[in-house]
Amino acid sequence: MVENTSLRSEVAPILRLRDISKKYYTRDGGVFYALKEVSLDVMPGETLALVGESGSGKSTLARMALNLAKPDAGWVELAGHRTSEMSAQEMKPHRSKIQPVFQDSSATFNPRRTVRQILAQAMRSTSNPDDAEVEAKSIAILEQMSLRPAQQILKRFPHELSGGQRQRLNIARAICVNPSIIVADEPLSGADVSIRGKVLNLLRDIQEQAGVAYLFITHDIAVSHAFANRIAVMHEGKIVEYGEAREVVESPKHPYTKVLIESALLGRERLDALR
Amino acid sequence: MAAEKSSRLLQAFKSRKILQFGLALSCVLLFAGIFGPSLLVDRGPNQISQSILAPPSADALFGTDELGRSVLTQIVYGVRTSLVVGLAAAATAMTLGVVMGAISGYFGGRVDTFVSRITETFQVMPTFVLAALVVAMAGTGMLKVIFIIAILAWPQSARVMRAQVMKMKSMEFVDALRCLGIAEHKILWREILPNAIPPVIPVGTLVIGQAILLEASLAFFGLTSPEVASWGRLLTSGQQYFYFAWWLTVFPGLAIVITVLTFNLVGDALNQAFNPRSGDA
Repeated sequence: MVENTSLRSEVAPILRLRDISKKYYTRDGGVFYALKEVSLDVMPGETLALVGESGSGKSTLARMALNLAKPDAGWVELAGHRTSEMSAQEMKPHRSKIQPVFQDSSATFNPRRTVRQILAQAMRSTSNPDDAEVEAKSIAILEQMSLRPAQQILKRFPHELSGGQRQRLNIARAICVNPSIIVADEPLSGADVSIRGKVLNLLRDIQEQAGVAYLFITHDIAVSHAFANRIAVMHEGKIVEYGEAREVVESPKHPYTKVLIESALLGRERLDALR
Repeated sequence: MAAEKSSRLLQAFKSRKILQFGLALSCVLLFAGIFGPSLLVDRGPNQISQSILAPPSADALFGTDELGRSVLTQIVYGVRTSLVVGLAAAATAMTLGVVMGAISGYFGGRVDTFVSRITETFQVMPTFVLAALVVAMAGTGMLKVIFIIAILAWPQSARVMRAQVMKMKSMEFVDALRCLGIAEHKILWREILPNAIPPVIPVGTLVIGQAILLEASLAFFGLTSPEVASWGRLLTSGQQYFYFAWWLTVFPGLAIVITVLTFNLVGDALNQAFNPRSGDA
């Protein structure tokens, strides 16, 4: 399935996940597969949406992609490097190529660090810029994220920002290190409905400017349809459908994908009825 | 999180009379311990007055002992001993507990199993008997007493610290730092530790009270240096005159009760302030 849909061009994928399995042992001695032989490719500059319900294994897969957890079987390749087999030390030079944007913007920052310290810490993780450079780049990034007035924002602690501002700071920290791919794990679910559109637009702008790819994890197939180039539908630890976004949404093949689409349509009908 | 905790602490301080009372009393004790001997009395604790076993009066507020020494003077000198032992033992126990608990909670696996077994072993040991045994074997001295109390008390803070670190190491902010390639030891000591320490502070405060009580108990049985003024030692010498000179035992006893109670009240109030599940904090 992977070969048919993703290796469309001569360009090598920025992220390759192959035959990833992760199992857990249950209390009664049984085996539970969080992921079973999952394969995905993310091409440079594209958005691949990973859609599925809670507990389908999306976040576990994201952790494998970020090398925060090791698979029991299979491998992860980042820009041609087999990261899943690397130690923390070996991984260090490759860390900046892949960055996360987590769901809960209130838990994603050290509460004792100011915005200035958070951004400086990210920048200094890859190079050794002086204070003036850090300050200038921080202000530029905050401006780009529409976090204004940047000078004031720099002095604040994360809890002094609104949910939407925190999520933009979350994205700001990720792009500080110029990653090739961002793994966005439900970046909209913690945000207010009114903010979701802004966050999506921001992510799209960054992609256009920096050519960054997204592995966009969500439970919302409607958002995936609007935002992603391709969609992979995940159910019970397996990829059950994988293809171009339009193709998956307009002519779904797997029953679970159909259920997801029907649920989204039902929601829209109810909304229309309310109007 | 930190700001929430500090505001919760401020809220707890404002709403809890016990905490205010405890902290005020702690300040009085600290003041008495630091300045008392030089301010209140110009004589040493062993200064002999004219009258022996004199009951409390205007001349000697807490009376005098069998050698004519002022009980108040000896109690004031005893504050210093109790506070030094209590604070130093609690600080040592907390430092040890924080370091061991942090390492155990963060690295897990065999390190965690090893540290956990040690803390469990220390927790089932009869504290006083062990302390008495060690002092009897190693000899008396304030430093030894502090060290023994700290060794016996560190597992309490280690267990709290371990639980805190275990909870925090899987938080998203730690994952985000790992994704930046920040070294594990830096994540533990610079990022997790400052956030994990606050709940350990109430435990440390409770250890102060336990340490003061243990020092007094060791002194009562003559297991501390006779050259150092101690409330436990005052109780021992006073007990033989108990029926006709009650002030020799009642005042040192009250001093112990009030001091231990003070630190326990502060510890309990801080504990409730840091634990959202414990009542109205």
